[in-house]
Amino acid sequence: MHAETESMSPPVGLGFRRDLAESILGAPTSSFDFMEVAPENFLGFGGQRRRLLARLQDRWPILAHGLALSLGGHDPWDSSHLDELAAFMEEIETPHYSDHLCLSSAQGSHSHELLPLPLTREKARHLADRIREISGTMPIPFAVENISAYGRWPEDELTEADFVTEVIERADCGLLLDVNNLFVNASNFGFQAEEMLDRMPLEATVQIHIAGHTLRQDGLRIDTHAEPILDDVYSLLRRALPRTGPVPILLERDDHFPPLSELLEEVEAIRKIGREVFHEDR
Amino acid sequence: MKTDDLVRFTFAKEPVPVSLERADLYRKLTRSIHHDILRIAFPRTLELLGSEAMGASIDQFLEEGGPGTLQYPRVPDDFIEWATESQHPQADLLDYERATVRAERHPAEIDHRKAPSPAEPMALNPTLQVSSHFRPVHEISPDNPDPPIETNPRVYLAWRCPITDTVARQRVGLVIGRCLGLIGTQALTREEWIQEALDTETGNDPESLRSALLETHRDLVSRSGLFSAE
Repeated sequence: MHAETESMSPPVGLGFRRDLAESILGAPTSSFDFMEVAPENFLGFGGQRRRLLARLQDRWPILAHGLALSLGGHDPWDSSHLDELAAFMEEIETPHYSDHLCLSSAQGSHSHELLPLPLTREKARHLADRIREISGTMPIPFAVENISAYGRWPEDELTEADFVTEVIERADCGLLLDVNNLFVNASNFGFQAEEMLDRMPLEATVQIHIAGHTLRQDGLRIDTHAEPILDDVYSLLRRALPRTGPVPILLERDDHFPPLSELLEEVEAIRKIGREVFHEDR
Repeated sequence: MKTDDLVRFTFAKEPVPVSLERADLYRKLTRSIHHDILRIAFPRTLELLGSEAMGASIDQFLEEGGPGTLQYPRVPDDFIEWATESQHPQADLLDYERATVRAERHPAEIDHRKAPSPAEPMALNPTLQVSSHFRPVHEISPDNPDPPIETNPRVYLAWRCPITDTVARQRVGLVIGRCLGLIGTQALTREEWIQEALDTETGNDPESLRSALLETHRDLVSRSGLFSAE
């Protein structure tokens, strides 16, 4: 990444979405330090999708972040998908690969939604076993992301932070810390976000995600990535960085796309926090 | 309930008891993203069938297991596969739907195909004809009724361009003509073709020949006389 050689500040990137393609590609390269793509949107595709990817690669380093491994499930791995995934990682030279601590497929059906898992020791062991299996197929380090959730299972026996810690320690993998998801969950389940953050295994962090979310009238927060980032979420980022170090930070926006200038303001706000935490603005 | 059962639950048209708190919200979110992608992927089908009939088909697709692909952009392809194999109470409607979704998906299917790999063999346009003449008959005109006979024959290529449906022509030298003949007899990638030509046409300057072959390749590919990765 740029930051490794040029500064201590964390590199700040954007999650690539096709709706944003032309405005992103029309922006100065310096607007972002990297782009993040979901391989599921490119694997096996030619045509426009591949041309877009090539144009992104010409301008920025690319990180890959997956959506579909269903780490908490029981379906056997799709070996042809894993082969394609490994080839894709080498092609784009992503430094690590990540997916979510969730269930998304079972018995060959794929929900394309990140479904929550019971926060139990047994499930943590199951996840860790699956993560170790999948890590072994990959040419680069693997990390897992904490998801947002709207409901809990009655058999839960661990806090989310302890669950994530147990999985990461057992699997010996990295953490992709999503500070928005953490805030959403703290709010939805009545915890203090700062306390939850402090209990997370932040030293394992390889990347951070940050985004906005939607607050429903009933008080439930939904992880839509369709709104600006809240100040409370920026505060969590600032609190996390001293322990995570200057890892890449990704802005996610998936809906209600604003003008690019507004996204660039958010990128600049993130960069400013990075500079302040790592003393470059002093 | 096993945790894995949650996946099938999220496809259900009506809620069923699940111990996960707010499970029905997940069901609504999951169903919503699938209805959205399929309605966006098949706008013409939606228009022809109407929202209710299209929605009923999507509901049935989800109830019967939903997508098997783990790539969200390929969900429409799974829907087509389901429609092809599915039994539907309104068989006539489903026949109609099968045809429209297939037709609507063709441009995306073609665009999604990968470009030919440099590792794949080249192929001459199947309409391509080669002729060679010592007398440049194509130059005969009232002003030039008897062009001189040449020492080496002139090689002419003619083919029909599949995009414009017009005939294209090109004159090439005798050596290049012979080299193009190699493509018709062997399955060669571009690099294999160039190497074979250099090995065969030993009386030529290798660098000049390589350059001429690359230029011919580029020109013929751009005009659909040759199908090959760039």
